[in-house]
Amino acid sequence: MDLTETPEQREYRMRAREWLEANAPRNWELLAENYDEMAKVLKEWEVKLAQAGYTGISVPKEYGGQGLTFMEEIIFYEEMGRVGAPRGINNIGKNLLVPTLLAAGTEEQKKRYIPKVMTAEEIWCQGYSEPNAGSDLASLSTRAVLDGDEWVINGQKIWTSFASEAHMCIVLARTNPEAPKHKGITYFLVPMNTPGVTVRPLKQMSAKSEFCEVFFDNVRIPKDSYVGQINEGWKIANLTLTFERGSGTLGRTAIYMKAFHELLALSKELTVAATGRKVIEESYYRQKLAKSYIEFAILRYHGLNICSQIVNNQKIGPEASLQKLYYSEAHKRFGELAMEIESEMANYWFDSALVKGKLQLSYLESRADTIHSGTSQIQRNIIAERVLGMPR
Amino acid sequence: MYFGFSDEEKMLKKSFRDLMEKHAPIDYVRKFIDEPKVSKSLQNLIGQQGILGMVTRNGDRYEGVLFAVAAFEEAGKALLPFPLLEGVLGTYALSRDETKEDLYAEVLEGRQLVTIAWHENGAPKLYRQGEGYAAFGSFHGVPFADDADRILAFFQAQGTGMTPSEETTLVILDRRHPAVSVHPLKAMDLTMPVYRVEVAGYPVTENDIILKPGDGLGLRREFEQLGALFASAEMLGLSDAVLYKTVEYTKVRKQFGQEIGKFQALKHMAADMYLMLESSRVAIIYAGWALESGTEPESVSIAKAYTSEAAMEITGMAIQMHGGIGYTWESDMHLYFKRARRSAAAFGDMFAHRERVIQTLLEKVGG
Repeated sequence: MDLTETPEQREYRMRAREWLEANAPRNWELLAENYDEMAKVLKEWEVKLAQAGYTGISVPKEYGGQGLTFMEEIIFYEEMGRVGAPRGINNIGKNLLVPTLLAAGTEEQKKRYIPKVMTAEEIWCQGYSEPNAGSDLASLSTRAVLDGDEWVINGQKIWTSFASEAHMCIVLARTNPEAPKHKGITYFLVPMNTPGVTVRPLKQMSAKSEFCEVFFDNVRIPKDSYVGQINEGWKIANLTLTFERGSGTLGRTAIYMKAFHELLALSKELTVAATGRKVIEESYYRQKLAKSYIEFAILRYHGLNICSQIVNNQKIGPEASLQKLYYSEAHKRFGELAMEIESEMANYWFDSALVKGKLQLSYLESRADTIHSGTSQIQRNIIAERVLGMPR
Repeated sequence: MYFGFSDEEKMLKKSFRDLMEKHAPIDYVRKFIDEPKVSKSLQNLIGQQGILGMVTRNGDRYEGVLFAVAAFEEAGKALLPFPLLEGVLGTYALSRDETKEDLYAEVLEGRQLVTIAWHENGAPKLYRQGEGYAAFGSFHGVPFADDADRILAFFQAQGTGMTPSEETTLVILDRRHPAVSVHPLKAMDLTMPVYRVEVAGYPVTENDIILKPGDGLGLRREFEQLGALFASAEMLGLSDAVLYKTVEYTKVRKQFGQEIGKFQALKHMAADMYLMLESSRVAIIYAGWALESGTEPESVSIAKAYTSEAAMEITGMAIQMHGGIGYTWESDMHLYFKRARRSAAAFGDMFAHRERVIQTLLEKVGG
């Protein structure tokens, strides 16, 4: 066991912290009701990150990245969480497309797409889910048919974050309807300005509206616009899925810990109507707060564990499902506790609420965590079948 | 950066597991339950492994904590009916006092069996008597006291400090001395027989005291801290064993014409058990590292609070997943369930450790 940072890593952390404190947008999450304003703030932030050398921290220099290691990347995300900075508007580009191309893209694709993510010139979105393909993603029905030198795509995607701002979209589409469902899907890269692509925003229960529906109506893209092999898109999509599930844990922990400390501070202020004592003086709440803190502390240990696996080149397998299940369920319980502590004040929202409604947002958004990127039920299936070997 | 057991720690874990599988399989545990007597040969084998002397102190840090954690995990898996925790802590206490070298060597090598009198009835006291003291006191929950050669017990040495806790003194009692009497208590957890121990006028000399009269408080706190971590590691081990046994059972048991493991209701229970198991694991390893690094002492409370709840949940769910057979005496499930219950309360229960965590947090943020 060795969890000590090298002096260089420590210095990197300190520099990042200083830069973030000076530059990170504050209270951006309170713009939830104003989509245009939020998108603007996030786009400006994305450019700032890129210019300061905080995009593609572990991406090789030849593709416009910083050429550092995974450790620096983790450190930066942890520091971002600590100050409550947004991750930007191009998470799909940075955390999904780039690792996928690095692992499975052609040299030409790497040179064409990665640098523009690094400079924040091209924003990406993710066309995976469909109205009838949610948990059963592999049953997706968006079709791509080869017509001469072009693929013609028809279908509909949903839950596509920031599609209205995106320049490019990763589209999973069926290219062989005869094959078993996992074996007839191809991983396409589609420019959003192609004729036939239309975007319709979708308002979420958190009042944010970054989610969109994207419609593909005879969308024609060049023949070579796919990653990996034709009909092997499922494999390509899964390459980065476990990475995505596992690597964000430390950054996420820092975000939750910040919210936890906001709740702890509030617990010292608020009085419990039934007893006249402060929340923090009530054993009932002390126990629940401790339990929540313990869950987040253990989330951090999980994060360190998975980083260690990545750094030491061990494979992350289906165990990544554990992290997804753990953090989303812990976040949900935290949101519930925050609302319980606020009691009747919990109903107030945005600037009428305590702490500007940040805890309301955490509470509402936690209901998405247990659904997106594979619901808690899907994660449990994966753990039971692929980790524990229970029969299908 | 590396998270997890080192290669050396893994090697020790493996060799301790081999020892358990060979000399303390579940049949041995069952036999022990019918006739609770510690086997001398097992005692010697554990001594030969050197595991009892793993933990030492170096300034404000411990050494060898993760080695011990690895061994306790394996002991928990095996439901080992042996005072391993008392042996490790007893040896640790003896190692702190240079004048106890001879006894240290005997205990370390498994020639003498040591236990610890964990719970006082009232306040056991040492009264001045000539050059030494006369010990009076009553204790309960003393594990394996009947088989033990030595019993370590805390007394208040009258007149050595300003407050009772400053008078805390750790005394080595000879179990066979006529002033010591041992009475069996009935307990749910049959893998750890417990006793009431009465001490009536036991003559204590300087030789029988670890460190000096009034030096016991620090040792007691160390016992509680290490004990909480090692009990957690035992719970981790038994939870691990119970989860994988249960998963195997769901692959062979058939109902409605199929293996019950195919039912999603059971898969989701197993997945939740796995989540709690692996979360206990990282918490325990982290806490072991923290003690070895002299940092974040609250991480022991984090591990103990979480693991206690997890082990009780996991062993309870295991009974449920077994169905009717899981409720029988013949099934091993109740052995794990009862041992988890006992360990969950030992060295501070969930309530106590959560309270400690929140106190530490409030101190940190200044409130």
